[in-house]
Amino acid sequence: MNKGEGVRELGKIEEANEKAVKKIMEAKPTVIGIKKARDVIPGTKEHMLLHAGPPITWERMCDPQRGAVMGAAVFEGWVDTPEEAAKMAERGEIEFAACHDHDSVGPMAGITSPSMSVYVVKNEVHGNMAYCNLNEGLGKVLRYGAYSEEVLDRLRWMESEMAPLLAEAFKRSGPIDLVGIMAKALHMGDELHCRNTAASLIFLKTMSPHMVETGFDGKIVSRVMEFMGRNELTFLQLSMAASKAMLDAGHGIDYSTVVTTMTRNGTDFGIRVSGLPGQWFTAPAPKPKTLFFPGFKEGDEGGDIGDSAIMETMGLGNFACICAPAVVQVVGGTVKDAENFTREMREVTIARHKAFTIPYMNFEGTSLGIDIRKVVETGIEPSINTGVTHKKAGVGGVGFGLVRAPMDCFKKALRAFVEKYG
Amino acid sequence: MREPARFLREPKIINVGAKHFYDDLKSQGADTVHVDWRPPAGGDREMADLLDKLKKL
Repeated sequence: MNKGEGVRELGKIEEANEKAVKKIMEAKPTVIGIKKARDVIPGTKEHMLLHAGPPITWERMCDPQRGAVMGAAVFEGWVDTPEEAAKMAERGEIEFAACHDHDSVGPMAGITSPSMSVYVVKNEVHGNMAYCNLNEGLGKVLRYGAYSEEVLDRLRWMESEMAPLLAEAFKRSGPIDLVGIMAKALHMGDELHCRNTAASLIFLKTMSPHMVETGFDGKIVSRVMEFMGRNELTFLQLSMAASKAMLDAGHGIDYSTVVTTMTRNGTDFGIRVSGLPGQWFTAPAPKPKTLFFPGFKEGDEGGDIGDSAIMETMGLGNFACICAPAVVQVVGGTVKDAENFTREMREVTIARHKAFTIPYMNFEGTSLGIDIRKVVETGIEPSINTGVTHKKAGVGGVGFGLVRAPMDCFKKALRAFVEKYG
Repeated sequence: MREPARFLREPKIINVGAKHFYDDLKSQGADTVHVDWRPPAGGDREMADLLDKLKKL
């Protein structure tokens, strides 16, 4: 390119960012099966639990995440009671690691234990993998910090019936294209974070004939189909794993200021940046502005938690909330708010997705590529819609809400970026 | 003496930055629009300097 001939010469950052969003957009995540976490997630060990958010110790872990740890330790058979599990963690006998540092994502507390089944997602273009456990539904569930017998029984059932059936069904279905399902669902009222209703039904429809063909007992097939059909968040795990696989394809590009992870563990909010691999930039996790389920009130909510902000990092979720007018009420807003959020997030991103489009905005592409420079310069913090846990372990979900990614994460990342490249 | 131009009698006001000036004008019936402008990095000098450094890359 020559200057003065009407062609703009790209700076190193712009060139790197173009490369990053190109790789994210050309990625093709497909779900290829279900396996036990210990058999596929790299770097996992016995007595190791993966968790949502940036890395954290037991001492600094929030109550709902501790609750999920306690439940998972009983589920694994490491101890008999949640109380013993807490003591085991206090003694340092459970190793903790961030899902994101192990090619994985986990919604809410995000606790993923070695015996849990995970979806195996492969980016067919770049070859990288992503993993996410199976969705348990809403309310009293492990990912919201609940650990009662009812919660553990459901997890055991998912391992004994649901996962084996789906694993066999995947052998018959072959790889399933996730971008296709997500793109379609955005046109059917999902934004793919708090609302995965359409995507879950498309996935169930896709898997149904293969589940029937497995030859499993009809009652098992019926129970699994009923469970997946009733749970409107069945597909959330696949939306997340697909987004993780796509964003990881754009991670580790020198000079790129594109954010490839936003996540929270209830104590800290953390981001990762493409050009700064191996580094986390954190700030205290804010409390979501919550619309509560009946029976819960302001003050019950815990800190912002979950790897599911990978959806907003991908330009979906609250970045695309105008696709899902029905979800706006659930998080306590109006349709106009949804449009405003979607348009506002244009200010902090650098591209528009080619496959993910917004019917309400004349089929413009969803925003893609949060740029730390734009966030700091404009003062606009990325907006996220989210499930909300009770602040205490053992209770579960209390509602849905809205939250902003703290500016301090982006300021710290900018300092580190200038130190490395400036 | 000539009448002042209409735009001087009925000012049209563009408010830039702090929105409460716009809200006050609007509540008094003024013909006004608001421009949502903030200084780069919210006026944080350190951040503005860092952003400037990156513009040279």
